[in-house]
Amino acid sequence: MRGSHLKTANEPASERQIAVSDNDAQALSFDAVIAEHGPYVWRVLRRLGVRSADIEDVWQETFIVVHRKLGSFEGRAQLRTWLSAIAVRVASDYRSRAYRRREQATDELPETGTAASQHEGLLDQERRALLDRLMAELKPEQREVVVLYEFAELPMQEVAEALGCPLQTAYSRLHAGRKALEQAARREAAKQGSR
Amino acid sequence: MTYNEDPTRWTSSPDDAPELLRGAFAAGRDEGPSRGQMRSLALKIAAASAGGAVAVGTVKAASAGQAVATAATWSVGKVATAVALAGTLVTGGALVWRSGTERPEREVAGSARVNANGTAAPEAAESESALGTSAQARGGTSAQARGAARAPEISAQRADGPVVEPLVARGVSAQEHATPEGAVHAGEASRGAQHAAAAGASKGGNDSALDKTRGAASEKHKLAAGSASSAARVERAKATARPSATLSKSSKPTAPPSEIELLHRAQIALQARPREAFQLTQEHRRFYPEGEFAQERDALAIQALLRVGDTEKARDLAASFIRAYPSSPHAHRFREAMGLR
Repeated sequence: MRGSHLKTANEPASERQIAVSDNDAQALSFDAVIAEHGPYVWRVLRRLGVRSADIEDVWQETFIVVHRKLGSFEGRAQLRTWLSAIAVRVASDYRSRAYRRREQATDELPETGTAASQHEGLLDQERRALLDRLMAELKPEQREVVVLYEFAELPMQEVAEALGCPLQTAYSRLHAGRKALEQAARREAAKQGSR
Repeated sequence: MTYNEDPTRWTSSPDDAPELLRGAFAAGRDEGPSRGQMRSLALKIAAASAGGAVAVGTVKAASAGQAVATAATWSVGKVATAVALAGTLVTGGALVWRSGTERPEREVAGSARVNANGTAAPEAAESESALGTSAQARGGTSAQARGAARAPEISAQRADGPVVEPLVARGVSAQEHATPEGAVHAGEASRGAQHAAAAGASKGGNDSALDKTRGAASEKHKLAAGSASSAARVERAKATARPSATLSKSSKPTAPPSEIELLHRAQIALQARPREAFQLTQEHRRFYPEGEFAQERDALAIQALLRVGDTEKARDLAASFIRAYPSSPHAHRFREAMGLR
């Protein structure tokens, strides 16, 4: 029960290093963060494999962590990058739990609450279900890069910061992830064609 | 292969995306929460963060109808548990160290007491049962209504257990507002009460950290430690309503308990069964060495050691904790309580 038990910090390097300017930090309030970035975190979590049925739970879990850490957020980078790093961790934990429960993270329940589903209908639901199936075939580290770059629209430099990896590693993962997605899409198309 | 610039995004330039993926990427890009969904989520998390109806320096969370009503809309028990955990740990609810005396204070009484400025406040009865917990709370309105300060000294104890005497009295004015404010039957509204308590606990627990970035504008968020003990009470009520779980022997190796579940059990065990609480924190360490709640786990472990009476070990661990998490609210309290730097 000595100091060795305690980590210097349990956040990934990216969380420790990311910081915003003093002015930004002063302007931060939890309510404002939710108002401005709540939907963003929601989207990131969904694409990271959080099911519709679980999204509200996981979203709140994420913001509890944000709430706890916001005071220590000193920041030298964008708030979104920092939020993304937290969302990635919470989603990763969620996927681990889902795996342990032997649940399929891609088993989607019908979506009823999103504006998109109301307006664009079944076709979009099917496309999103397809996207989730394809993304589920990526390695977690590839998926995280693809999500943060393509759907969170972070620059690759910030993707790398959020994930705590070198920029070149992030590029490699994006490249490999895209390739894997194309292959998975081809397999999916072949499967559909053979039915 | 090296890369020098970001490639074109498939989501923003569908023409660059493989044809098979265009539709899927576009659908994924456009998916988002509805405004109503977002509003609902924001309200829920605001209940947890602002603790709107939770009293400052009181154990009133469960007694506030508004809080219960708000909390009753929660659908996420585990999240509330997590908030309660964080808040309870941060605030005085479970801290047992008194600086200078180096021993836990103990009392045997079925009451809750809120102290501020070192002055004893009147006591309120508290009884717990498996089916219906009547958590009579000590009064005071919310921080924003009273402009009350945070972190009063709180004494909270089980009817059948030791008193927890946290030592974190700081800038206190809540005590002067102390008036009994009714009871809530947690058996009927335990879920709501839990959430209500969790809401207050969360805010109280994180208050000091948030103040860094919010400053004076966040007056409405200045909550006190008292709400944390409400959370603890509700958790104790839950504990009495079901058999206590022992972990290591009965757990299936393929399905380890979640982080929150482990710490929730440890929190419940802390007062009456500190050894078990400590073991649970170690169980958590094995499963989640770098878990999201590692900080709370270590804080719990220290408190469990204090309760067990292993003060030397507790001090060692607290010193390590302070080094590891110097800006943590827990670290602040350990410094104060143990005279550590």
